[in-house]
Amino acid sequence: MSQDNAQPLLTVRGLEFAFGGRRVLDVAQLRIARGEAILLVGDNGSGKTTLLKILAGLLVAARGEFTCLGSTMAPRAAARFCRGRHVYLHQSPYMFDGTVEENIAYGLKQRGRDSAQQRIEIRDMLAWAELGHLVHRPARQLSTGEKQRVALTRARILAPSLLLLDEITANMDADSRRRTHTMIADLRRAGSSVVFATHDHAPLEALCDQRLELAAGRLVDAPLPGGADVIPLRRDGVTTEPR
Amino acid sequence: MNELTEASHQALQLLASGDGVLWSIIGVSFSVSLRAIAIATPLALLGAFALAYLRFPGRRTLVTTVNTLMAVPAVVVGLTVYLLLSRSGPLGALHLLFTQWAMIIGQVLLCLPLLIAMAHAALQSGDQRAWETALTLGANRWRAMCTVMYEVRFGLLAAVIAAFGRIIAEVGCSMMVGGNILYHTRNIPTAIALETSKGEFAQGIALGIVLLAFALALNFGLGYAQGSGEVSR
Repeated sequence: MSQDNAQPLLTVRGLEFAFGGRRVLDVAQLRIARGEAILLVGDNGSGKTTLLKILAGLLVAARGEFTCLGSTMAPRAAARFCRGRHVYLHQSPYMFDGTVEENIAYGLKQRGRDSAQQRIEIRDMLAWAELGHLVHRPARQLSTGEKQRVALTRARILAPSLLLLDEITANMDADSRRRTHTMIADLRRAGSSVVFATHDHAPLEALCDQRLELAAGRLVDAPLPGGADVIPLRRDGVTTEPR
Repeated sequence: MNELTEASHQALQLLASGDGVLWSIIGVSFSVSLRAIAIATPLALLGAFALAYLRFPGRRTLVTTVNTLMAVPAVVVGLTVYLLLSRSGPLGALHLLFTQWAMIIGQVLLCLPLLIAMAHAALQSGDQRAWETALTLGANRWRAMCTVMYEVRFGLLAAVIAAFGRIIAEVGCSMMVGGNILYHTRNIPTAIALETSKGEFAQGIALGIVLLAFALALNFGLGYAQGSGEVSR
C-alpha cells in the first residue's frame, strides 16, 4: 500500500457542535480510511444527521481539529474543504426542478465541464444506474427508489472521496434497496469511502467495515456482529438482503 | 352616463391617434418604474435570502420591521424623500428633486419592503434541502443561492409583479418628488389625478386603460409561466 493510500481520508478530533445552546455532538475522535465503509447507528435525535452534515461541510462545528488528506485545519476551513469533495445524500433526496439528466448534470456544471463532455459522462452513468429510460423524465415525478438512485448517480458522477448517506434506504421496497446496495458497493470499488447513518442497521452490516454508535451525541465503538471489525465485500457487490 | 361614454370614446381615439402627450406620459411612467424595479429587485432578493438563510442577531426584528414598512403610505415615503432631496436637505447638493431620479428613489423605497417580504415568504416556503444539495454537489454559495432562487422562481416573480404594480400605480410619492412636469416627471397616476381635477376625463380613462391592459398582460404572463396552477403530483 502506498504512503498516500495508508493516509486516512479524514480524521476528526475533539469535535463539538451545539444548537440552541445545547451541545448535540461531542466526538472525541473519528477516523475514516480511504475506501472504508462505516455504519453509523443511533436512535433518532442522537446526532447522526448533524455529524454527517459536518463531515460534508454543510454545518460548521463549534470546535474540533480536522485532518483532511494530511492537512490539519480548523472547522470553518474544513467545511470549505469538504463541500463538493464529500457528498451528502438526504433520506428523502431533493430533486431540482428539471429532468433526470439536468439533475445529474448539476454537479458537472459546477465543475465547469462543457456540455459535450457532460453528455458522455451522463450517458455512461445512466447506463451504470440502469436509469437510461428515465433520462428525460421530470425528476420530481419519480418514485422514492428511483429518486434515490438518481441522487446516487448524481453523486457518483462527481467521484466523491466520501459519500455520506443519511437513512437512504429507509423508505424503499426490497428491489430498490437491493439495487441501491449494489450501486453503493460499486461506489466503494471506485474508491469512495462511505458512511451510512441508520437506525435500521441489519440490512447494511454486510456492506460495512466497521460500526460506530452515536448515543446522545457521543461516539462509541460498536463492533459488527460475529466479532469481526471488517467484513469483506462480496466480489459481485451484491449484498445480503435484510436479515 | 353619456359623459362617461363620450369620455371613453375620446380615450380610445386618443390611444389610437398616437397622441404625443399621452404616449410621453406612458413612456415616463414605464421608464421610471422599470428602472426602480430593476434597482430594487436585486437588493430585495439578496436581503430576502439573507433573512431566510443566514442566522444573525436581530434577524427577527428585521423581519418584523420589513413587514411593518410595507404599510407605510406612499405620501410618507414621498415626504421623506422630499426632505432628503430638498435644497436644505442632506442630499440637496445632488439637485435631484423634481427629476425622474427623485421619483426612482421614492419608488425604490416604496417597493423594497414589499419585495423583501414577499421574496422572503417565497424563500421560506422553499426547501432547505435545495440549498444543501447544491452545496454538497460543489456549487459555491453564490451559485447555490441562485439555484435556490430558481427553485422558487414563481413566488419571486409574483413578488416582483406585485411590487411593480404598487409603484406604477402610486401617485403620492411621484407627485411630491417629481413635481408632475409634462414630458419629464408626469407619469400615468399623476396625470390621471391632474386631468380628473380639471374635469378632463378622456386622457385619464385612456391612461387607465393602459394601466389595466398592462396589469392583465403581466398576470396572464405569470399565470402562463406557472403552468396549470395545479398542485404537483
